[in-house]
Amino acid sequence: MPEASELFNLGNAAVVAPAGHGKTEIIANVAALGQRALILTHTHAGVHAIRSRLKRLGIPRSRVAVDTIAGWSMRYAHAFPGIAKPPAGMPQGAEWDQLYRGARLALNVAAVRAVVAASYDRVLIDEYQDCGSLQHELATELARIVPTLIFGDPMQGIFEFAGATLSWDAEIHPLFPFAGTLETPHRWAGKNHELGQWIAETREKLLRGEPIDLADPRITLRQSHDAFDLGALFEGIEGKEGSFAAIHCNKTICYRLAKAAGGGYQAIEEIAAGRLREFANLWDKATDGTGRLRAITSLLSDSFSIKVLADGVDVDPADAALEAALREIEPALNVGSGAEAAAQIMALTRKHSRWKLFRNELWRDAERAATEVAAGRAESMDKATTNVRQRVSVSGRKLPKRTVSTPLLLKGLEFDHVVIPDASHFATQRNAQAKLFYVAISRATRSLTITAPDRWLTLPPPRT
Amino acid sequence: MQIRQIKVAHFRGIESLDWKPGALFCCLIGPGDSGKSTVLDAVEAALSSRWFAFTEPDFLACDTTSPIVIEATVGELSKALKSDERLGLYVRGWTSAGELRDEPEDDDEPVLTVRLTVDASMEPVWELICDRVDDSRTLSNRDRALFGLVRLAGEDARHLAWGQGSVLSRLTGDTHEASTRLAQAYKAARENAKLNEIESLANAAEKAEGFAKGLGAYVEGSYEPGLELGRSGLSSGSIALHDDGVPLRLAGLGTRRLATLAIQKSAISEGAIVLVDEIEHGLEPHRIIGAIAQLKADQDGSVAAGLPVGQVLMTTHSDVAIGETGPERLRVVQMIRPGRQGAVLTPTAPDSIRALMRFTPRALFARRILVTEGNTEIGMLLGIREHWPARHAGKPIEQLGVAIADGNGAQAPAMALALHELGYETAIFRDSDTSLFPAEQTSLAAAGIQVFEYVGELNTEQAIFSVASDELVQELLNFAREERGDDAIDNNIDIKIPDLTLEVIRETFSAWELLSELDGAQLREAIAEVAVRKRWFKDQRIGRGLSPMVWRIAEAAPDSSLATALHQAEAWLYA
Repeated sequence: MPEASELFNLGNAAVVAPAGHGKTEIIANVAALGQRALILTHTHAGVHAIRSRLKRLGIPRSRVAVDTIAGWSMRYAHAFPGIAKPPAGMPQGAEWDQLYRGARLALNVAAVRAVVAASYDRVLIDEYQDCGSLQHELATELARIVPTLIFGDPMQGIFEFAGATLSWDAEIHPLFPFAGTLETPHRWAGKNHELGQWIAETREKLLRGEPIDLADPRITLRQSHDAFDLGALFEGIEGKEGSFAAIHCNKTICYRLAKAAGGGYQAIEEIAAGRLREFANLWDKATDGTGRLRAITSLLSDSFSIKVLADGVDVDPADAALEAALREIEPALNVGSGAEAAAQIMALTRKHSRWKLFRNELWRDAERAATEVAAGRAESMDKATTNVRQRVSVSGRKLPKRTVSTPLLLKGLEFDHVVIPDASHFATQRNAQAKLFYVAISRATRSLTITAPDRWLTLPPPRT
Repeated sequence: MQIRQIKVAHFRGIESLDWKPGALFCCLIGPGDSGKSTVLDAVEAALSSRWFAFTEPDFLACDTTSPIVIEATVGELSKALKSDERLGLYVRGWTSAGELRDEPEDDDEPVLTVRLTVDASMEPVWELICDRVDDSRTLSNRDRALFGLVRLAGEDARHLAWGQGSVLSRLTGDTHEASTRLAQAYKAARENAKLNEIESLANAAEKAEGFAKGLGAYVEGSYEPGLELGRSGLSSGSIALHDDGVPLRLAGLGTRRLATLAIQKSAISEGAIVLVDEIEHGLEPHRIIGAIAQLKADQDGSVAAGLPVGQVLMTTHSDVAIGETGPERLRVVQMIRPGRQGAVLTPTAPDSIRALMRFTPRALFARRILVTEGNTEIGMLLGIREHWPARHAGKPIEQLGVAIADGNGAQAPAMALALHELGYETAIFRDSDTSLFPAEQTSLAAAGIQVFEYVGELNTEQAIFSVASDELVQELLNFAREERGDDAIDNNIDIKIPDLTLEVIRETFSAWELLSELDGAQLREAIAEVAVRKRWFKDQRIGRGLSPMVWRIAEAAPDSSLATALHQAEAWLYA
C-alpha cells in the first residue's frame, strides 16, 4: 500500500479501505501535505470524525476544508445560482439530484473552475462507495480541476437501496485508477487482534459468497431462533468495559429491542428524524390542550417502556407525587402555546422510576423543541424541531453507552462490544446482504456476539 | 490584479465617473482639475488596506447628504482572492466583450467588485458586491490587503524602514532571528549596531537595492540596514535602509520615491496594482523615461513568463512621461461641467495622436487645442500670442488652458478629430491654398470643429506678403536674409523675377516696382511663391521670428484675410 506522500503525488486515484484500516488517518495525512485540501464525505458524523482526527494530528484548520458532498454542493450551487438553479431551502427527495446536477453545471463555468483551482490543491473523497451516480459525476468534474483521491470500500456500500450502485470496475476505476488497498487493521491493534483477523477473513469470504462459520472461536455464537433473545444483549455485560451496540437491519425491530431491554440499550434516531417530525405535526395541528396531550402521550408510548407494577407492590410514593404533578400541569397545555407545560411534562416524565426511556435522543429533542417554542425562539413545533436537529447535525451526536440500531446508522462508528441478534435476518434483506453483515461485524473491536439459528451463514455475493 | 472597472460617485470633485481602463498600463492625463488624482484616490480608497479618515471636503461640494460610493471591479485575481475560504464564492464575471455580469458564465474572467460607501457618519464601509447573496460581505483591512495595491504618492519614509507591517519586514521573511538579534543589537546600539551582520536584514536590504536600481534610483554605495535612533524609541522602526551610511530617507526626492516604489512593488508577488501620482516628481527627464521603461519591462517580462502582470495607473504632467508611455497607454480625464460628470477617454486613433506626441506633446495637458498645419503657422501663432494678453486683461492663453499644437501638415484634420474624441475643444488653423477633402470637411463639421483659414485660397506667405506695406515687405526680406543668408534669398528672387538684377534686389523693395514689369501686388505674389517653394519660413523658430512683422501687417490691414483669420483664432482661443 502506498504511503501518504506517494498517494499525494498520484493525481486521480482510488484507495480501497476496509473497515478499521486507518482510512481517516491516511486521509488526514495526505490532506496535510498540500497547501489546502478539500475533504468530502457523506455525513455530518463523518465530517466530525475527520475534523477531530485533523485536530488530534495537529493539522491547522486553514490547511483542510472538510464538508459533506451535500454541504459543499449547497455552498457552490447557492453561490452560483444562475447556472446551478439549486432548490430553495433544504432539498427534499428528488431535489437532491437537482442540487448535485446544479453543482456540477456550475463547475462548467470557467470562473467557478478558477475558484476551485485556487481553493484546493487536492480533493479527497471519503466513503466513495456511498456515492450515487450524480455525486460521481460531480467528483469526476472536480477531478478534472484538482487532483482527486477517492477512498472507499466496495464491501461497505450499503446504500444500494438509495441508488449508490456504482460499479468500481466499470465506472469508478476508469477515472480513479486503483492505487491499492489499506492493509493494516488498526482498529483491532491492542484490543482483539484475532477478532480483526476473523473480520478480514470473513470479508473475503463474503466477497466470494462463501459460507461463514459463526462458531469460529474468535467470536461468540449463541444459537437461537429469537431476535428478541435478550440474553445475548445482556449476557456478560457485567465485567465488560466500554461501549456496546446491538445491530439489526430492521429499524422497527431495533426499537422493539430497545423497548424490551427496558432502557438498558438506547435506540438512536435517523437524520431525517421522522418520529420527531410526526410529533411536531401532531402538536402544531392540535388546537387545544387535549390534542397537545395526545401528541405527547403518543410520543411517550414510543419512547418509554412502562414497567407494570408487580402484584402486591405498592406504588413508589415519589412516582405517585410525580404523577400528581403531571396531572396538575396538564391544564396548562391549554395556556398560550402550551409548550412550556409540554417542556415541564417531558422533563418530569424522565424521573418516573418505572418509566424507562429507550429513545432518549427523540425525547430529548422533543423537549428541546418545546423549550424553543416556549421561549418564543420558534413559531411552531415544526420549526423548532428543524432548529434542534440542525444543531445536532452541526455539533455531532454523542452516542449512548449502549446503543441498538441499524448498520446504516452505525456505519463509520466503532464499539468495544457488538451483539448481532438473529444473523439469519441478513439473508432476507432486499439489497446488499453481505455488505450489511460486513458493516455490522466490523463495528466490533473487542468482542462480537452473534445469535443465529444455524452455525453457518451464507449470503449472496455482493455487487461491487 | 488589474482594475477592470472603477465607478465613482460624489467623491471630491467628481459627481460621477465610470471607467474601464482596458490596459495593463494607463497614463492618465488631462487638464488641471479634471480629476486625474481623484481617480487614483478613488482606486486607493476602495482597495488599499489602509484606513481612510473621511471628512466633509471628501464629499462633492462638501455635501454629505449623498454618500460617497466607489466601486472597483478587479480582475487577474490572485489565488488567495479566488479561494473559496476568502472571496472566491463572490466572484462575478467579466465577459470577453468587457462587460460585467453578476454571476459568471461560460468563459468569463472571475472578477470581484469592492464597494466603498461613506455617508454623513464619515464611517467608511468596504464590502463586496454580489447580487447573489443576501448579506453583503464586508471587507476587513486584511481582505483588502489581498488586492495588492501600491501607491506612490508623496514622501513616505515608512517604507524605507523595518517598522511593523512595513514592506521591508515582509521582504525579510522570517523575522524571528532578526527580532532576537535586534534585542541584543539595541543594547549595543550606541557603540556599534552591526545590523548588517543580521543576515535576513542584510538580504532584504540587498534585494531592496536591486529593485530600486532597476527603477532608476541612484545608489551611492550599497543599501544596508542601519540604526536611526532618537526617532521613536527602540523598535523595529528604528532600523532603516541606509545607503553608504546615510539614511535613505535623506536621499534626493526622486531616488527616495523610486526606491519606495520598487520596494513596495516587489513585496507583492502576484501582480500589484501600482498607482503613481505625477511620476515626474523629483526626477530628471532621463530618469522619468528610465522608470517608466522599467515598469513597462516588468510587465512585458511577466506577460512573457505567464506570470500575473498587475497594472500600472499613473498620472503625469510631463510630456517626457507621455512620450515614453506612448499614445496607446494614454487616457484623458475630462470633466463635464456643470454636472461634474467625469470621463476617461481612450484614443481611438492613436496614430494621429502619435504625431502630436512627437511634435507638441505639451498640448495634451491643455483644455482647448488649436491645431495648426505647419511649422510656419505654429511659430507665427506662438509669437503672435504674446501680443494678445494686452487685449485680454493681461491674460496669456496658457492661463486659460489653451495650447497651440503642430498638426504635422495634412494630418491636422485627423489629429483635430482624434483630440475632439478625447474630449478636447479643438479648432484648426490652416492656409487655404489647398482645400480639405470633402470627407474631412464633413467629419470636422459633424464634430463641430471650426477651421480658421484665409479667405481666397491663400497660403500663409501669400496672406502675409499680399497685404504687407513696402516697409514690412522689406523687413520680411531682411528677416529672411538674416535667417537664410543674403545670397540664398537674393538668388531665389533673382531667378523668380528675371527682370530684376541682383543689385536692384539688394536695394529697398520700394524701388523694385519701378524697375520691373511686375506691379506691387505681382511682386508680392512672386516673393510669396518663392518663399513657399524655397521654404524660407518653414521652421517653428523662424515662424516665431516672423510674428512681430505679421502682427503689424495684420494690425495695419484689419480687413485682410490674414487679420480676419488671426482674429478668428484669437476669439476662439479666448472664448
